[in-house]
Amino acid sequence: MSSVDTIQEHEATGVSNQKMAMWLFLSSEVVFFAVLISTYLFYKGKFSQGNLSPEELFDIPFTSVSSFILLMSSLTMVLSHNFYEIKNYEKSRIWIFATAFLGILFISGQIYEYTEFIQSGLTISSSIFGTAFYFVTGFHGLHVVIGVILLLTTGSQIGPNKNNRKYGLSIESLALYWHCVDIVWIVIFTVVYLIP
Amino acid sequence: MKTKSKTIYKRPTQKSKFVNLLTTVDHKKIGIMYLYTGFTFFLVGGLEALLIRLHLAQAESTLLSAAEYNSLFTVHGFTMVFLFFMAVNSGFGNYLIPIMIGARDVAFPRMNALSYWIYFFGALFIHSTLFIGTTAPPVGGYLSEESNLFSNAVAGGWFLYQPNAGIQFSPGTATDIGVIGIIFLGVASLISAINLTVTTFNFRAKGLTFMKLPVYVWMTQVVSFLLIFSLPFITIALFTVVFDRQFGGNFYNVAMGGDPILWQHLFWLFGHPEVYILILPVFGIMSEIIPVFSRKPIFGYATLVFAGFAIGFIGFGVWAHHMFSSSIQPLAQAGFGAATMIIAIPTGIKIFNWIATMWFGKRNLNVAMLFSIAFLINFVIGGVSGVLHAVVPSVWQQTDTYFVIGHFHYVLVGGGLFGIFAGIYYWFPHVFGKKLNETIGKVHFWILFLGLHLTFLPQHWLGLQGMVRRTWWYDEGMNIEFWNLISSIGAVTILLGVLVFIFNWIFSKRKGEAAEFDPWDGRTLEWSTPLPPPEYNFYDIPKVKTRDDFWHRKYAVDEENRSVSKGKHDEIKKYTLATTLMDNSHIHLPSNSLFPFITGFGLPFLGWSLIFRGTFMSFVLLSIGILSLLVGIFGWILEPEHE
Amino acid sequence: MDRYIYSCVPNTMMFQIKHEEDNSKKYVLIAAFLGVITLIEVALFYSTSFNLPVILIPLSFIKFLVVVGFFMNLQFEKKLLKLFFLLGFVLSIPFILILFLERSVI
Repeated sequence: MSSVDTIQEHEATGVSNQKMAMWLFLSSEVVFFAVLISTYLFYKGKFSQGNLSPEELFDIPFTSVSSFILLMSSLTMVLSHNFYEIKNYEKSRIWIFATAFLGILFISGQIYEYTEFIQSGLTISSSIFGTAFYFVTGFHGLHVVIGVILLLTTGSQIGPNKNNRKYGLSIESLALYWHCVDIVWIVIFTVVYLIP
Repeated sequence: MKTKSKTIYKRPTQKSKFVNLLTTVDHKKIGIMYLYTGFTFFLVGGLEALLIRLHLAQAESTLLSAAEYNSLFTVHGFTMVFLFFMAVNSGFGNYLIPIMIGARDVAFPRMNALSYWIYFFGALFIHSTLFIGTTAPPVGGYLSEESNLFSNAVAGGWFLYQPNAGIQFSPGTATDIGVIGIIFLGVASLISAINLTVTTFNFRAKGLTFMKLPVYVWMTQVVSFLLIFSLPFITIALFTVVFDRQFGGNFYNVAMGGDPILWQHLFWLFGHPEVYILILPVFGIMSEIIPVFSRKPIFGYATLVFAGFAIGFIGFGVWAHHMFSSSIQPLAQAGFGAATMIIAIPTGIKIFNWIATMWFGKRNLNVAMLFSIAFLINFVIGGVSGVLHAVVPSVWQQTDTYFVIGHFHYVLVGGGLFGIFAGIYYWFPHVFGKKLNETIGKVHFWILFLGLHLTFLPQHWLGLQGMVRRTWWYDEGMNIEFWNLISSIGAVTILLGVLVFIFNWIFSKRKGEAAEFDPWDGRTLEWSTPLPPPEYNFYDIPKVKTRDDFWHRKYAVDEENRSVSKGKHDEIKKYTLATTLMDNSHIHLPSNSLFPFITGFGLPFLGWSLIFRGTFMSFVLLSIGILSLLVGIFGWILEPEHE
Repeated sequence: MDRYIYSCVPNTMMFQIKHEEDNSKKYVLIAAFLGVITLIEVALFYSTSFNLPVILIPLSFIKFLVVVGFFMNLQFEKKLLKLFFLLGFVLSIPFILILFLERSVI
């Protein structure tokens, strides 16, 4: 997966192979999450039918804070890339680990939220709201977890004495992925939590 | 090229053929692996179809039990669509795209290998439904307990309509295996689509601008875009089913507010682009073969390309024509009906372009060309019955009858399979340096042609008479025995044709007429290499000046627009063959790697561990799967670039 | 499309990310902008006198565009990449709409 694992440094379009591949993958992911949100919207009219409705369960202040955390993780990510570009590997590494940390915080928030909901009785099988909610947020959470693993792995490859991403994903590609995960959450938060 | 890398381990070299097979990243070898594996599944799927037809040859037949029959037509569908057709398309695409654009390999060679291994292990995983899948009599069902090979496999049709394929009406593990297997295959296709797109955009030889690309490359590119944008639909659709079946989800549980039509929307939003994904590469193959054997450039290059894009784009807007008899609004039905009529137009444009290419050309009716001409005939027949499906009230009668089966087998078998055989006869010399035998090939062609029409033409009027599809039993008094018998005789004929082909393959690999360079007087870049091509494809990366650049190296155009040989054939041939003897140590190719294989290997274990949850076995399977994935991925990342 | 963005947000050029330069301050400013919008969204949620979807959707859309344009730098990327991303987006919106309109109401 290294950007140098090609035998021709051919870039007829002027865009690096890895960056192009990541954008293509992300455009697929955009459709993926759009469909996820559509399935949620498809059943939205029936969510108050069950014994547990969104209005009762959602803790908007809490989720807003965790959304804000994820939003700020985009900042830390872009800072990491920024310092990488100016070859300040030490700072780049710090910011990438900061991003991973914020990502872990977000996931912890999700897990806390999930346990609260399950204890109140909302499970995948308890109602159509339960199924749809866990489906949408669960897949997003999975993407965040994968992102955190990627961040930690890549972060451990950067540094003043390291190979500095000779292998694996470039910081740029990783940043693109992470931002995508963030903007998807922006949409999910609005559609699932904020809009009645 | 020395790399300053922490070499914890070296990359594998080609010690033995077997190691080479497991570790290859060469697009040509991977393409051939796809073709062999895909063809094997063609035989498996064909056997399944043959059993179905043998059963249906008589009224009130008890050759197969109901459970076996239900599984057979389902597995036949999965096998043919996903394990044969898509694999063979991948095979052609992987082999041809880099060579056609003047590259040495694809953009991400190890990812390419990964696509293959995910396909391979995914295919094995899906077929495990035959051996370890379980079904049980569904709620209020009719099936008795039985357990032989086919009766416990995934059943209910490859569309997996909900809630019929849900946990209540299809209990057991067989369906889950099918569902999860397709998710794996989707990942493989997505990786491949991204890989080929980056390759086509970035790896083109100098001077090869987009409008000089062979039409085959364009068609494959449209397919890649279709895959990138349609795979999310099926992935999510399948995950909703996994949620419902495995975790008690309520997506399709009507009592809790679920709505089965959501499945239909999601499935067909993938399913319809999927049929274009299947056929567009074959359109590309036709666009390569017909000009060569008419000794004329393709007629209307630009319109062919844009028609391809139009088909791809409009293809996203016609999905509900599979749902006309489901509960969608009349306005929606009208809209989708109109869109379906519109999509016939770009397809028709292509057909006219191919015919115009042949018109006034110097045609060479060898086997590849015979298959291509038959493609045109068959596809038009299939297309006509298809556009009839744009008329909504007509569909209300035809849907779920044999009329639909007749339609799609004409386009997929008469069109797709014939096109694939054309491609095989055309590019066999390229891969193996020998031609397939023409005489045996003609026997193969005519038997297959006869078989196709015998089998599928009667199905049209069977359908109009009301014979329902996917039904195990038909009574004696229904008056449909005769044409069913003819159709079944046709199926046996197809089998004969395929056997002749296999014989031709084996025979020609040993004693075929040698073809060391440009046997067909080709037009496109792949024919400018020695045959079979060396691993690095081109000794010198070509510099491209025009469309059909290779042709223009051989031929000039005179005042009357005719091709005049430049008299350089022998010179070009001699030089090209001589390059195989020259020193190629300056050419660096990606090294082999075992990690794609290891990564793919873990996937079935993950699937099985999900299905057999709650047992100790599941935990063991999960560990093997995760371990395999982790070793595969981290090994891959840490591998030195190439040696 | 670039010109449209520039005309709507007059100071956009100020935020052009130059490679080989430390752009951290610009990024922090952009993030602050995003944070402010989030605060507005949450505040709106708690005041019931507004038609929520009408305001929240455009606000989210702005956040979406800002992250994509500036953090992912799409604004200044080659047209090709913008096209890929746009394609996915363009295909998604009609689907979301259609599935929403066809939604279950029983």
